[in-house]
Amino acid sequence: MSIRSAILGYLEWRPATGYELKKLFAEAAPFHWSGNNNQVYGALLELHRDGAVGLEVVPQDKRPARKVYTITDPGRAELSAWLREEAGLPEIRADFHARLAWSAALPPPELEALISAYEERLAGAALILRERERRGGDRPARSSRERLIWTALAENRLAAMEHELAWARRLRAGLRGL
Amino acid sequence: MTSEVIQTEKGALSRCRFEAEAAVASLPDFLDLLGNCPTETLVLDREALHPDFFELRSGLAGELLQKVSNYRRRLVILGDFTDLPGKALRDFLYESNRTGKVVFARELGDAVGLLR
Repeated sequence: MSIRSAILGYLEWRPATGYELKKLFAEAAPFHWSGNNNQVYGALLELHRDGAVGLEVVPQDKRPARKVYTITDPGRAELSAWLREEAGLPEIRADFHARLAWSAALPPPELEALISAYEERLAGAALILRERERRGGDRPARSSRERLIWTALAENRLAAMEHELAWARRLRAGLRGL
Repeated sequence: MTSEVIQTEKGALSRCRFEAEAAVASLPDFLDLLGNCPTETLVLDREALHPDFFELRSGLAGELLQKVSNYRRRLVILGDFTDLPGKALRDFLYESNRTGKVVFARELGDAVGLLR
């Protein structure tokens, strides 16, 4: 999934600056992994060049002007087509799993500590996700269907975190039991 | 355990103080306290909480925070949180303070400022 498509989705919801998009990506369940910060600006330039988004410069008092991007009709068409493409299966790219695969030879206390630290980060992430849900997010809710979908996506992410935490605990217990 | 009701611009708070440390070591401990708390907001010192609270994977923090939310109460934890190990914990405190229902601060005045 490219960051381009995610940006189009957001701009269809409402116009935004690059900075605002970056913040939305960081907080949103389905897009939290969407590229690093700099990719957003690059993608916006590309989209603009392709005519998929428009740019409005809004002057501000005592601050740099805001560069607000809006979706265009060609942009809407691109978004629409992308929504209907066949989606791939979830790709779990877990940094920790990759390292764990080759960690059997580490001294047991060290491996135990690594897994514990991973659990701690997972627990922290889950707590933060819950907090954000409690606070209510700045997210699309143009209809009850949209509200349901975004809530479900947030729940999905939280459940994934908790599942991973439970799994890590079991693994650590399993290793201790050997 | 002694408690004192303090009026603030964010409502009344119940400041609870304990003789011993780690008096709140489990969910039942916390529910007891919450149940007997006459105000919307409960104020505890960091030392009143069992250290497990700050080991997020123990699940204690999550459990207590969920109850605070379920019962629509607020919790203030006073103490020095500058020595917290790990980014996970610091990030969590930051998010929690942003929500303003469970706030961590050094002084009561700061905490009241964070409450929503």
